[in-house]
Amino acid sequence: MNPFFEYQNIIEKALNRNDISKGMNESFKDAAGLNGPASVLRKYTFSDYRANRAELSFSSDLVGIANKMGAVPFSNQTIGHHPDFSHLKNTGNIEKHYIISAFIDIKGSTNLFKKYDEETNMIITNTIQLAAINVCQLFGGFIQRIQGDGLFVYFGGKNRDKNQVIQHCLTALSLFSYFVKNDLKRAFEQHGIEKIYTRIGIDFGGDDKVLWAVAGKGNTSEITTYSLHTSLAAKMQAYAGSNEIVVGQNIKDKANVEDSLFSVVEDKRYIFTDPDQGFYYTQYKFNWLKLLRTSQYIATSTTGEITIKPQVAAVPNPELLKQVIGENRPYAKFKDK
Amino acid sequence: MQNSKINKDIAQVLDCYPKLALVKKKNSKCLIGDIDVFDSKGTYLDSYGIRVNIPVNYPYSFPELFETSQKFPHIADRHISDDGSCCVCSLQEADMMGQKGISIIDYFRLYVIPYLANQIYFDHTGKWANGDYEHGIYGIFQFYRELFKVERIEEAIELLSFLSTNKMNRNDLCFCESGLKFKRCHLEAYRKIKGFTPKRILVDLTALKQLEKEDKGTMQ
Repeated sequence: MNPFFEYQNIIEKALNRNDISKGMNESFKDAAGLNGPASVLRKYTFSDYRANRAELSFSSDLVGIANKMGAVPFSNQTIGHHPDFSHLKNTGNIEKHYIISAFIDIKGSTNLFKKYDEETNMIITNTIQLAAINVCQLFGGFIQRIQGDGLFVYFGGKNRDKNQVIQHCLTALSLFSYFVKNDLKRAFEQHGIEKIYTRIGIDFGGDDKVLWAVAGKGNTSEITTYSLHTSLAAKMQAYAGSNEIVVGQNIKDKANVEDSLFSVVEDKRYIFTDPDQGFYYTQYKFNWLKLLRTSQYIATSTTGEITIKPQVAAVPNPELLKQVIGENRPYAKFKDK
Repeated sequence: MQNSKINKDIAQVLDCYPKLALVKKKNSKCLIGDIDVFDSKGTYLDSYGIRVNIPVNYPYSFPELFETSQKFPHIADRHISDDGSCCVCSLQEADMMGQKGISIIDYFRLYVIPYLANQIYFDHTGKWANGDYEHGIYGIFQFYRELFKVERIEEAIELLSFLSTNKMNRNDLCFCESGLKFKRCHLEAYRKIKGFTPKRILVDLTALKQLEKEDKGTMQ
């Protein structure tokens, strides 16, 4: 089951009904009650989107993973004002505290203009962005800034375990990457849209390396981090290929996952160097698919498809096991006494 | 054990079943971890903790499967041996597959996954999808009874002794006096017997004779 099904459903409605090249954009014949081949669905409009967007949620299985991993969403998120540092607002104070910075870029949306109008383009890119926002928030992320089609997200805060937060961040962004690379890709390809993909950069800055302060003034301000590692996360994003996640050395060191999930970015191993200080900071390509496939919360079929393990496993129809069982006929070497 | 082949085969298994890990101990290798089971429509059903021991003379020996998550009772009626191993098929089939050589990925596809799926099937229906073999020497007799299509132990012993020691031609009349050519009668059984190791045949003959003795004892 696709945990982003509701998001995909909206995107498919827009793709199916709003293709300019098929003249569908101008069709206003109502779909209700028309199932014949001649029926034309009316345009999926911004008001349809607004109505559907209000109902967007995630599968209970996805919420289940976040809960089991101990992710706690921040309530009342106001962009640019991380709740754990909101006390810095309207003060001249600064504070040092760790943070994980993640930059998510959604590339290729320009391709949509070849077949879709501005309204449809907005619906589609907005829905993808919303999927990213919601999955990050579910796993305890804080949306610091919306940057065009992309996002700048913080993971972490007061009294949140650093290693655990890194796990949450990597899981959320791996799940989002899987959605874009597989489910969305299929939907776009069916409509001849050249690929739309993500590029993600993530880094961790420790308590002594991240300074929190207010940027700007009055209403034109945000609470932000001044840290080499926030800057590097943005730079690393630029080194990520299509649907890739690039992370800094600190993430690798603290993630508590197999080293084999990280491979050095060959184009530029060191994303930052300070030879005078002997400081060479390595960036790594993160194998997010392997993280998902090895997760205890996710099942992988022999064809490589991943499924979030349901909260309660069920066997809908035992007869569907017969093909898997094949000719298997077990034996026992000893008889019960 | 050819290292390049075994390493390549293990890498294939680890790619297909990513929650498994290779564990090496002195001369032995085993695969340990979780394995996910799906139905034919791709619906996830359950996961099992397993250990698969790779034989030293891989691929010319049958691997061993152990279920480590205790998801079902470890008793003979669930086809778990006294040593805790899972009896994924008849001893004769295991012998034949070992003799021919079985890659570790085929072992997973043909035995591990089907056996675990069969356990789920049993949990939900109370029966095995293709039936099962009886336990111990009764299962050995059942195997030959079905292979030779006979009822009595003496007949099974006679046929096993005969087929394992004689050479047959396809177009000869069958030894069983059915009047059919051998290729239309007992050829399939003959082929199977020829695929067994001499040790297997010896053990099976001994077991059948023991059962025959027990039977006679009961009759008296």
